[in-house]
Amino acid sequence: MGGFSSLENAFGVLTYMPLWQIIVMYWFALVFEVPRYAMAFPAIVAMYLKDRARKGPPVLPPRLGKVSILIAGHNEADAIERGVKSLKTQSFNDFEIVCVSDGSTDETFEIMKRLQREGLVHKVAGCQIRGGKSSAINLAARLSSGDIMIVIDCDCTFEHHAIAEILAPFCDPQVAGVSASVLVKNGEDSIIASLQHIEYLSGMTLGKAQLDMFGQLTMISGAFGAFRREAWTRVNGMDPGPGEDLDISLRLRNAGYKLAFAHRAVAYTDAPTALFNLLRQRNRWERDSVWLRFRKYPWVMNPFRADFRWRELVHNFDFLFFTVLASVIFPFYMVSSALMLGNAFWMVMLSSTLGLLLLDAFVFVCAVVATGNNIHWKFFPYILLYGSFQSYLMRLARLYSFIDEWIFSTSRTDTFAPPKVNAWIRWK
Amino acid sequence: MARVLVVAQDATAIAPVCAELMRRGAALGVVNDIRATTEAVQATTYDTILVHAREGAPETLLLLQLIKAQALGSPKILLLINPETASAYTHGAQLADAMLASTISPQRIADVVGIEAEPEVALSLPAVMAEQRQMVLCLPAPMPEELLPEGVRQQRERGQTPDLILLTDPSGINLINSWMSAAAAAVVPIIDASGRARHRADATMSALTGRGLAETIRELEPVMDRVKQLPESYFKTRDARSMLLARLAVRERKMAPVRDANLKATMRFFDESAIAGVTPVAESLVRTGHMSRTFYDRLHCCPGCQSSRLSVREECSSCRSANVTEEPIIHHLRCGYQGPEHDFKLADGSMKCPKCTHVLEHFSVDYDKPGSLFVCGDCDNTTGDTAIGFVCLDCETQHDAEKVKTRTIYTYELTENGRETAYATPMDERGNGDGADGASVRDRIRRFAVANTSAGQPHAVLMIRLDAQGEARKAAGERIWRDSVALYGSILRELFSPTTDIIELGETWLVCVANETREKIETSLPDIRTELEKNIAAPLGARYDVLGADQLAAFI
Repeated sequence: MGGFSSLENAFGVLTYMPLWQIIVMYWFALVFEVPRYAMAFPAIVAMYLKDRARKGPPVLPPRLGKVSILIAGHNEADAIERGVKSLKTQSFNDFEIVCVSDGSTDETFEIMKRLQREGLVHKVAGCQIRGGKSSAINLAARLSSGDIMIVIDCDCTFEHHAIAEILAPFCDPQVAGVSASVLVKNGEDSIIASLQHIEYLSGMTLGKAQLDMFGQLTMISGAFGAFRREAWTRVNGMDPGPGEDLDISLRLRNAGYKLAFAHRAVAYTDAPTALFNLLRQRNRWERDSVWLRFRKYPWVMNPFRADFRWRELVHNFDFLFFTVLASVIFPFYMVSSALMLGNAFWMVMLSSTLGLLLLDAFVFVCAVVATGNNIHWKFFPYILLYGSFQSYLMRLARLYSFIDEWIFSTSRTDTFAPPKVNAWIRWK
Repeated sequence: MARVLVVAQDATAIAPVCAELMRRGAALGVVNDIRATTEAVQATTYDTILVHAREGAPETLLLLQLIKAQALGSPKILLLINPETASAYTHGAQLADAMLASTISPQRIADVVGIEAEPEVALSLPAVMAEQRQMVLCLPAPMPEELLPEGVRQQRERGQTPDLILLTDPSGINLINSWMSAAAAAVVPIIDASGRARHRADATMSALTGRGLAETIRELEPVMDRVKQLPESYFKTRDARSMLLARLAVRERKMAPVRDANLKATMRFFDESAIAGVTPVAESLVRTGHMSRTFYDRLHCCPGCQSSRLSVREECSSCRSANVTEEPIIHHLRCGYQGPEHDFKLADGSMKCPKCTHVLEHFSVDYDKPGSLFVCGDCDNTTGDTAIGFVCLDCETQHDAEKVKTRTIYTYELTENGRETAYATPMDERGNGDGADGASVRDRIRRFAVANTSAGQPHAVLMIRLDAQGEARKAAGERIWRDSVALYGSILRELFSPTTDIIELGETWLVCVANETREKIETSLPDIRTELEKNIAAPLGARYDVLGADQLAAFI
């Protein structure tokens, strides 16, 4: 009881403190966290209003042309057939499917060939040597004939209108790529997966919606994304190396194209269920972001170049400030606060965590309402852990990845692409 | 051993000469018309051809010309003539190596043929059986008695059942049924002495020699013995099932298929020549438990003409052209471009990446070849797999592998029950039919109608026929059709009570429904149809008819 009374006293102190002292104590949350939530709300409202304005099924572009679905898989024998068959049940299914087996050692290619004989797949190719996802998708794109190419992962499942929804933004002729909403399929498998379910829904989906609202979308997910062939050809398709989806998205932006987000185009993917696997996956993602933004395309931020665009500076600044800087400062903020505040440190941590919890809960509720899918409600109790999971664990993991990449350049030795391919990655 | 072909329309007239030649150990072939002669000389190399000229017949000269033109090797041609008509054969003398008078002794003729007497075989022809005389039917014409081994006599009258049939010419096959009943023809062993009727014979002699004939007859003695064990009533039966059982039982062998590229079916049963339509007969015996079957092969058949003479080819999966070439995939490691080799190839043979324009120089350093693609020369379709197609060599139509029908070939074997039945009363006399429980379809319907009529119960038969020969089957493709029919059958059996008798005849079912009137079944037909077809994607073109009690009364 003594603990509770001292906590009550501590919170009571807050009411007597001047504003400037409160700002000093909570400056990290106010600078790096609150703006994120503040931007989430208009994004949710925008999504909601957009959905209300549209009645009925998605409207396809009047001159859509041919649509190709590109699937590249490495040892996907368990998933490929189910994935192809689920595509056939889409509300829009007038597309060709091109499958490439990238160095599979299981039955993947045999299954692809059988699916071709059964008329479910239009073209297949089998590479005995793994070349990485970029080259496999490039081969699929070469074999395909669609004006719009939709890249998907074998293990994804899709909502009924997902393909039609991802095609709808191509009504705008300036749009070269469309990102979809990728959610977690196996959220109930573990606590880690449940937390990612919340993260994919209220973090990534709303994050993309926010960026889309300001024309700052920089990522077309390789799990489910669509590209206009003309633009794809102009930027020469995918480049080898890690983060191929972010890479081509950045190159499309750099070439002046517009990227769009189709939040109603929903695909479900398997998320890591164990903490170690999650950290390893995020380590790769964060390293790739650093490598692509600041090593491969640093010139985007050079205002003295003729092709400099302010809009490209904005998303790089956003990443640098809210992701990199927040992660770097966070440990210093923790240590300095502990030294400066003494016993009040725990009160500050607890109160800021509770505050963020309320914001997370609010955003989650809004996200579920905006998506209109009640299946997400069952993950609401995990909101209690979500704030700490993101603020402490994932932020520290991110910091580790940034240091690792800046100092050791570990993305060069990433096993996601074969060593032969990594050896050729340009290093700037 | 000297090989001698004797060409004589009347073998009896030249029998002493033949006997002398066989006594001296010659391998003898005997033919009696122009066609048989030409076939024989084209098939076998003879040392000597002895032509017995038919008196005054101009075809003898034609025959000599044909022999001269078509005979393999360079046989000595001897013309045996009646000296009184020698002037008619002036031209023949030019075609033959020697002309002999038929009046001179057989020994002298044999000397001219050039075969030395062999004392060790000159004693006598081997005896077949000391205590029992075998009756042999020589076809197409009787043989000189002297040529037959001791203990063997020739059948001269029709209607009897011989112990053995000796074919001296393939044309004899067509005469077998005019000499005996079909049942006897199915079981009596046959020796082919012409070498050209193997498909019908139990034993074949490449040349007719006395010793060879005796030995062959001796080999067939067990078969002849078992034929004699068949009941008398068997030889009067017209039931193909009984004939097949008896035929296999006396020969103590399986009914095994053999490949034959000369046939559209490419596969035949040796017994087909003795019993027409032997496969369905064997299948009905399998259903009744008299025979068992084991898988031998599965053949693809042209959906148009049923031929299995199909040429298999790799085709473009898009336009079905066979103009498909395989090409390596090139992976440019530097920029990640991957495509068929022709994307990279320059006119001078070097390679340049179409994406980054770098020159590809070192395999495994600059680029890899991780796989291959098939490029169609007609429609330019590029993909990693080809379709398999068939071209029918008989009707020259092209078919996708998925649409081609298949036919399963089995080896059939008598069961213990089948062996016992073979030596018992023929099946037609016992009333056994072709239904699954041993009764004929007609019997089963009759039994059903009688039982319900006598009990005063309403009854009807629901007849379901699938579109087995029509568009539905073609549209579905053979594999999907087969699976769908099997599924349909199992749903049908689940739909009715286990006590309901369902007669299955390939793609037709007769459901014997007791305690229901025709009208009631007809009213329920839409529901029945829905239940049967709702889970089957492929349209089966099923037709449903109901036979009422009044129509079934015709079976009683």
